[in-house]
Amino acid sequence: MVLTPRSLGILVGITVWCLLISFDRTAQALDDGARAYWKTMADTNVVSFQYLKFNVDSTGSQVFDPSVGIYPNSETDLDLFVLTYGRQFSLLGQSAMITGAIYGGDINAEFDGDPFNPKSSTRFRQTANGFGDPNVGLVVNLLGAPSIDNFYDMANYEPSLTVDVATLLTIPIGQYKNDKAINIGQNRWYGRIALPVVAYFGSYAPLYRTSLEVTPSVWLYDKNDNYLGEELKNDPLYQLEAHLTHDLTRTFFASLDFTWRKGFKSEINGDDAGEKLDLKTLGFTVDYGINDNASLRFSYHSNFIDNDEMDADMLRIQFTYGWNELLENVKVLEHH
Amino acid sequence: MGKLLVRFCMVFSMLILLFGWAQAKDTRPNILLIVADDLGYSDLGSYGGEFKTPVIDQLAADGVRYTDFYVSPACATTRAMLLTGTDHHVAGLGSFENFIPPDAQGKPGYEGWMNHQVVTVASLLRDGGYHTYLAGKWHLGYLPDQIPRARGFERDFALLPGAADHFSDGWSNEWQRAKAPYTEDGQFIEELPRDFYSTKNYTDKMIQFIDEGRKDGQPFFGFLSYTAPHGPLQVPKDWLRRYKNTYDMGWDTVRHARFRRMKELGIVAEGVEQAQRLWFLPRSTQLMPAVLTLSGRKFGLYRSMTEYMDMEIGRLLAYLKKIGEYDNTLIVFISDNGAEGNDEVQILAGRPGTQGYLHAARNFAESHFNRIGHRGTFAEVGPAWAQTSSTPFRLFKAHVTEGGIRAPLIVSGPGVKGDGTINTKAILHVMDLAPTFLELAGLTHPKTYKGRTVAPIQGKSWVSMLKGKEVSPREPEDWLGWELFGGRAIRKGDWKISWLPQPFGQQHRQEATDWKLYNLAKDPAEQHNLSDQDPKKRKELMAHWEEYVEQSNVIVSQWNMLEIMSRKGLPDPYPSHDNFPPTYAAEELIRKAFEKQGGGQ
Repeated sequence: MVLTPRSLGILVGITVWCLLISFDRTAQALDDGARAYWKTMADTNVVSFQYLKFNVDSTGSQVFDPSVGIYPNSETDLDLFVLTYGRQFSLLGQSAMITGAIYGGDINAEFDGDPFNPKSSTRFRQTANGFGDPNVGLVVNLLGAPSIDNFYDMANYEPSLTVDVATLLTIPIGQYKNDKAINIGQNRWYGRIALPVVAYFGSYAPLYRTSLEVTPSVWLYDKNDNYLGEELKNDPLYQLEAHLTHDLTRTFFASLDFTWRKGFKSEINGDDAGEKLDLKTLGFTVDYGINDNASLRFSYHSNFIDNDEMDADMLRIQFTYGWNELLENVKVLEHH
Repeated sequence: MGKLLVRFCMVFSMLILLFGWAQAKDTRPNILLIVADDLGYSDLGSYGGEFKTPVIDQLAADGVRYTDFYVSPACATTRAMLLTGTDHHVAGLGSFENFIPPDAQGKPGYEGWMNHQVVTVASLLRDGGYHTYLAGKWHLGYLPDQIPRARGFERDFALLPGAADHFSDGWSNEWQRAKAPYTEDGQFIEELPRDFYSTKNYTDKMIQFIDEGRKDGQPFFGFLSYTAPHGPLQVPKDWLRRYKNTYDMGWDTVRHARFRRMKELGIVAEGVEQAQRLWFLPRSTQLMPAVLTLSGRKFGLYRSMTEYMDMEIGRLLAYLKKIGEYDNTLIVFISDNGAEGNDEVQILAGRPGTQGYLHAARNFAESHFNRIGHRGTFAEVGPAWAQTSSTPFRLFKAHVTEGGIRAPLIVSGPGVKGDGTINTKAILHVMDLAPTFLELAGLTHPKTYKGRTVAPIQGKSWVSMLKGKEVSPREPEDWLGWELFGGRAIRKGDWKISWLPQPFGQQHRQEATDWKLYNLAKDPAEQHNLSDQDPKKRKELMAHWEEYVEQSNVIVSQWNMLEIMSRKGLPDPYPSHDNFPPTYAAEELIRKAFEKQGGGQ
């Protein structure tokens, strides 16, 4: 296997991206997030703003090919915002949701060695800022969640098991410079197909809700034909995301989060570039409902399950606001 | 020696005979009284309801159903009469403990618990050689001399207050008690079993009592006093959503269907009307579907509780068959009053929830619509469904209208000539149970009991009627009286007079003219006041009212609970929000418009 110096930047970018991909879901940011596939009434709109802070330290050779003698000793910091919009609607009688997300921010990476000068042993630093690649998504329920079109449906909605199909497509219009190893955008089309499964336990009422959520998914990538002047290809990335959530109070829930990503082996100009990714993260989420419309969420995730060569930590603060015209009008009536 | 041997043999033979006599099985029938709590008149399948109650319906098919069986409008008062054969105003339950009006407080008969002026049928049966068992609701007193063990029950597992969480002792409907007290065999229970569910455990206990007591061959009197389907509406998990959307069509449709079936069965005579929907209840078609489905869900829980009870009765009857006692057991099934329409006054006032229940709901219960039915939740069917349960009658529990005081009655067992008969002629009363049971046991009611004078029995034995020798224990000149929470009524033959407190009675509140007269044979729903057509009949029955007051120790209070609640709670015609209704602003605009145009005044 030959790893060109430029591959180094790719691999750092992979690590970064593996954390970034999770922005791609609806109103959640990192991964899909807990309770991302819970249903609400059709025509409900959700806007979410979140701030994320990542720190990725790689001290070993896990993601870098030792044959070239490069020990990256990398440190990457990201400060990002994500703005998402989602709208629930009815599709052939089933619950469905369209989503859109934009994100942006700063990435600061530094590692040993210079991808543009292999003989150099100096510490290499690079930054990127701007907007990432926006995405659009569609989630359609296959089982267990008929469309909630009105109050009658809402009153009778007591899910036990739901299975959805979720698709997402990322549009390559974000910040990208082909002479930089670090970018926020990817300069290629890519997307995901997922099969979220949610099992509900307990009464579907505040304070009593518990759920086990498992989302297997696969990411597929087009090639990036201008990565530092070369062609980059990636194998599919397989991802398994799981959440165990429980209401602690009527307005407050917590979730134990787990994510496992595997695959995504890279090729540059047809040559292998590094090893497959195999990353497990564990974390937690707490979510507080401020009122009927707004909630505030905090998450912390880390790869401490197998952190011998890399530490990846993520903090997230997310504010979500949702509204439904019908519900708002009812509130007005109620007030009077 | 020979004589000695003969004498020895004679004495030995006599001893053997005596021993054998002592061991001979008492052939008197067992008596099993099953009381449902707040079950409406038309809920059972055998009374025209759509509920699936095959066990109770089979009892009806084997025995007799009665259409004119009367109870008190509320539970404790019915239970006092049931156990004593005496009017509740005599037995200490002139009113409920919490609702005794100021001018009756401290007066004999208004103690709020079953007093010692009466002796219970349980005490007499126990003294007469019966085992006596109670499993379920008591509601006749809390103190050691008032609990079941002190009032004749050899074994008991009893809920002392009128209602509680069905899965725990977490709260009681009597709001000053945060924890519902239970007794078992005369001892207060610290904790209920972890898997407690009222209907199941009461059945378990009754089976246990019978099983442990049957070795000596004595008959038993079992009082299985279920708390189903009394609120809070709760049912085991598997039963929670059986009827989730069954009642989405609303109460009017269900009520009309029941009325039709009741006519087909012969429970209600052809040609009679059902009561009009109460004026403060909307037509169900006026409501949005979400409201209907959530309301109907509560009625579905009520139905599940009733059907679960039916299943548990089946378990008990199967046990009796297994031990060979079923054929020697007289089984009586009743409800203690009309269906629970709790909150009607507060609903009128726009404030659902009576004081006690509201307190309980706020402090101990969860009421989310996806949670109701579980432990710790609080739900009741409310007046619209209660009126459905009371089809075809007017009103429900707490009222002296037929919807409050007429209950299903099924009698089956040895000596009952029936085979599915529906008796529409007999006018029966819950006070009749005690004398009936005593006669079956070959016992009489004493004038004194343990040194104290006790009130005489007012009920009439049904034994002759059950044997088919007569259709009713009452003669045409006999009458029955009711008074509770201010409501008053007398029934004599086909005729009934009643006086209802506001807002259900007349608004001008004149004692004489507010009494209404109904012919129940033609108008069981009490829709056509015949006072003007037959003032003589009304006068005749009003004279009986005076007799009833005198004879049964009734205090006609100046304090009427329902009226006071109503007056306190009635809402303003419009909410008092600023600028709503915007009449002032509209007048201002019109005035300004006129001024601008140079218009006149």
